[in-house]
Amino acid sequence: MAIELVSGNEACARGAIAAGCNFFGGYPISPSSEIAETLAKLLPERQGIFIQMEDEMASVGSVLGASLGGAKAMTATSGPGFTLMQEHLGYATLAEIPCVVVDVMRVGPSTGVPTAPSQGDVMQARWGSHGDREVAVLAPASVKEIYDMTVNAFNIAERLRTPVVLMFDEVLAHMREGVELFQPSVEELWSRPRPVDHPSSTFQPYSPNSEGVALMPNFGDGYHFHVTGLMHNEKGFPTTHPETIRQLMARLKRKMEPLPLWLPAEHYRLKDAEVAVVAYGITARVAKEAVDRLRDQGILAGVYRPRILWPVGRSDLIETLGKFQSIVVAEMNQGQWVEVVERYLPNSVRVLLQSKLGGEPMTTEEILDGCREFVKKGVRAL
Amino acid sequence: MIDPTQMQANIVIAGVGGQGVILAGNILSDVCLAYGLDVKKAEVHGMAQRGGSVSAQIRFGSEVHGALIEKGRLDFAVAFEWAEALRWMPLLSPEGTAFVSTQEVIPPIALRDRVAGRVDYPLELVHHPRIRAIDAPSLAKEAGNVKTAGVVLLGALSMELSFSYEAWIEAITRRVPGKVVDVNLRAFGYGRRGKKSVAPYSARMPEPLVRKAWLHLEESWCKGCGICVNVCPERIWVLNERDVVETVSAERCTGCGLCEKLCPDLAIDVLTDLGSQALGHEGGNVLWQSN
Amino acid sequence: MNPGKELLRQEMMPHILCPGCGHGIVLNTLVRVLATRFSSMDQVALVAGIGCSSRIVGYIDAYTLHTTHGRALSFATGLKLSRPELTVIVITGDGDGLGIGGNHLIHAARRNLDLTCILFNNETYGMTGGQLAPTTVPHAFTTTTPYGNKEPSFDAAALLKACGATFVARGQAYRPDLLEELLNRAIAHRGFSFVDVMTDCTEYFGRKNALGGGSDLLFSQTRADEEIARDLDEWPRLRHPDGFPLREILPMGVLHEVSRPTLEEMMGLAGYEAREE
Repeated sequence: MAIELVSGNEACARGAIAAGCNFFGGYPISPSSEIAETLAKLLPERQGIFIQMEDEMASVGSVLGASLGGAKAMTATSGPGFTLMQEHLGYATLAEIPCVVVDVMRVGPSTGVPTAPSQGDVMQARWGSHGDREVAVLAPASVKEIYDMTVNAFNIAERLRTPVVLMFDEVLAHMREGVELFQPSVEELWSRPRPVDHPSSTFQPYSPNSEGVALMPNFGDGYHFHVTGLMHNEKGFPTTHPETIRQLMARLKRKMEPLPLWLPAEHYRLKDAEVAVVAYGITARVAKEAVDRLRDQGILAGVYRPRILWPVGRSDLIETLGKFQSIVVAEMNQGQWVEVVERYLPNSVRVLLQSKLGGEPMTTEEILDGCREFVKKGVRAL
Repeated sequence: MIDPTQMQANIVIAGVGGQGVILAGNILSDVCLAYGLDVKKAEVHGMAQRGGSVSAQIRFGSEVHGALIEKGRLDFAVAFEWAEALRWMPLLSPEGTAFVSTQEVIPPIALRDRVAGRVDYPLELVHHPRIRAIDAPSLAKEAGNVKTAGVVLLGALSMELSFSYEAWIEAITRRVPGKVVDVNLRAFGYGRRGKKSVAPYSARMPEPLVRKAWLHLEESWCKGCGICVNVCPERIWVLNERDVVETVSAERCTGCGLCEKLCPDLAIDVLTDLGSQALGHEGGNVLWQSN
Repeated sequence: MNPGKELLRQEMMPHILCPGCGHGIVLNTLVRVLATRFSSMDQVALVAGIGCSSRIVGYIDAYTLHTTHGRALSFATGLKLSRPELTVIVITGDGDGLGIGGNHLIHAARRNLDLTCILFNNETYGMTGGQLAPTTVPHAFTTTTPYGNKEPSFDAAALLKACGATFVARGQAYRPDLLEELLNRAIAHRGFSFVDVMTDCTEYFGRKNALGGGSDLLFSQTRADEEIARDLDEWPRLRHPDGFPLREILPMGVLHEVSRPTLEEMMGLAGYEAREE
């Protein structure tokens, strides 16, 4: 396969096709629109469905409806649209409907700067929908990774019957990189657990397997079942029984636990490092460059890059970063994932937020500035 | 004319809910009472504003015991609606007269199963010597309010009785709301003059209903809304003290299916297929089975 | 007997609707239609939003989807496009379909996807306690219009026709036979079909406006008076001293029917022709 020059948004669309996506319902919004535009071309050529819906709520609605029909379905949007989608993301979590939602982050709040990057949606992705829920949020950092993680997002969505959010930003979306895009093999593509030879009369749509995931027939397969956003029992029927609800909520959280193991954090030059930079997405790229420069100056630095922002890979985070005394968390927001780092690491770790606002991407120099803060404060090794 | 204080008669006033049957019966009763007569009035009605049969049987005389009119003893039938007249024809005495409005209130709901369709009135009824067809709605409209059709018919009836015009006027004035007294008196006058009477040309007719029917109630589903109670043409459903319906005189069930189709709780099954032994589901009781 | 009872999820019954609720009668008619129309429910999906009306899909043993408030049509759109061979019926209410979900309704009509949308129109938000709906008649009392409704109401059928729906009908709970025929024709229709079904909220709308109980409200739907009513100034201003129309006089039956290519046909979707009518 040849190396091609592909933008992040194109790579996302191509990744979706590679993953077997056959339904896209979307609504135009900068800076995500090229994903829809690309799939509008690619899907019909492959007997897939592309439909432009009337708004973002309808986009996710159509995606969830298609998914229940058996489609591998996705949508793509940006901040304001992502906000409108939140209710349906909560619905997909509770009703356990696989889907992939791409959020190309732009400057907010509100209309903000539609054409400029940010990483301001991290907490929205975690807590944006009402109620208490576990989410799956992936954060690619390159065009190649957007492609791969789009495939991964479908895999996770299908295997765990959950919505998966893929978040990157305007810069990655519109950046072109020379990449080689590999078609995953059939074995590398996961699909939802389907009932096989289950008599339809005794089939229970929300009775979990060993992974905590229930078997999912398609609408049209002959298994009649009820899907609802109400709390439900294993038969899928509404319930207000407290113990049933507790068990359901616990299962929905538990089934997501293996996720961080499937996409472990990247450890860049961390092994012998004395200062760590925590960064994800586009920011991680400049963090690596900053670390390289620090090493050139004899300062042992490394980068910890979570590929999956939620659920947090706690054990790896604590094990890897707990030994550090100085950590810089670099984000293009006023401090969102830094709260995770602060929450899980012991008090002995000094955590400094290097924040970047204003719609311009983080620079290497700014991350170095953050590291130098420690030097000024006389922290060891800097 | 005989002395009004010596009069005795059996009269039925019939119509459907909302037409003013009860009001008309009250007016007539008032007139009788004004002459010191003994009056017995038996009403059949539900809570229906509209849709169900409503009737008032009025017996008066110097002394009346039984409240219900027996077959062949009905002197006057006043029917506010064509089809309702039919119910009472068997009771009419050979000398009796029926005042029948040409108004049709098409039996409202799901009467496809019950009604054969639009058919001509049986000739023997149209030309029944004792029927006086009256275009009451038109006369009422002319009087100023179509709802006074019943009073038009009372006007026609009043010509057959020896009560004074003034007694009727007094009763009407007392019974109807003040704002519409004039309209009602005008309508009453039109009825007395028998103006614009026409013969009916057609109406919807119930088909003969000889049918085997089973009723099946899923008691645990019934929420006691009373729709079946009010909609049943035969009035076979009642609400019991637990606010659940049960049947009385279930043998009158004609299998029309209205209660089944209008039951919001899907609690009623009406089975009319002789070959069908299967009830829809288990757990309920067969309340009644004809034949 | 109603063959549709075979389709009920027995363990879910009795349903949650209030005594005398018109929605129950529509459910009664709907299952009758489904049972007589389809040999099995293996090709029928029912999609609903939120509200009293939308809860009814849970009682029918088919593929049933109880979605979010107002969005049933968007789910149905995705489902139908991914499974064009299915018969997809959307159950919505007046608040669900015309209020919060109005945007989806008008666009679904415009697209002419082969869906059937049944709107249970009880002129109020029942599930939340009887608030003002976009279909509440002027002057009516609801829990959020304690001084009477100051707003005009939607004519759902006229709206849908204007939006391009290829089949528009209106029925009422009071006439299940008419409704049965309308639902049958709507389901058979290829393209977006819409049925506005007038039903009653006894517990809230009925009570707030002193309209009586289940059967009073039901019988107030009579259209036997319709012709007469047009000549009368005082009808249908019933009950309330200030006077407001208990029901606007609305035409019933099939109000609009045209044929134009469905979205499935325009997209050339495989399997669509197999859709059971």
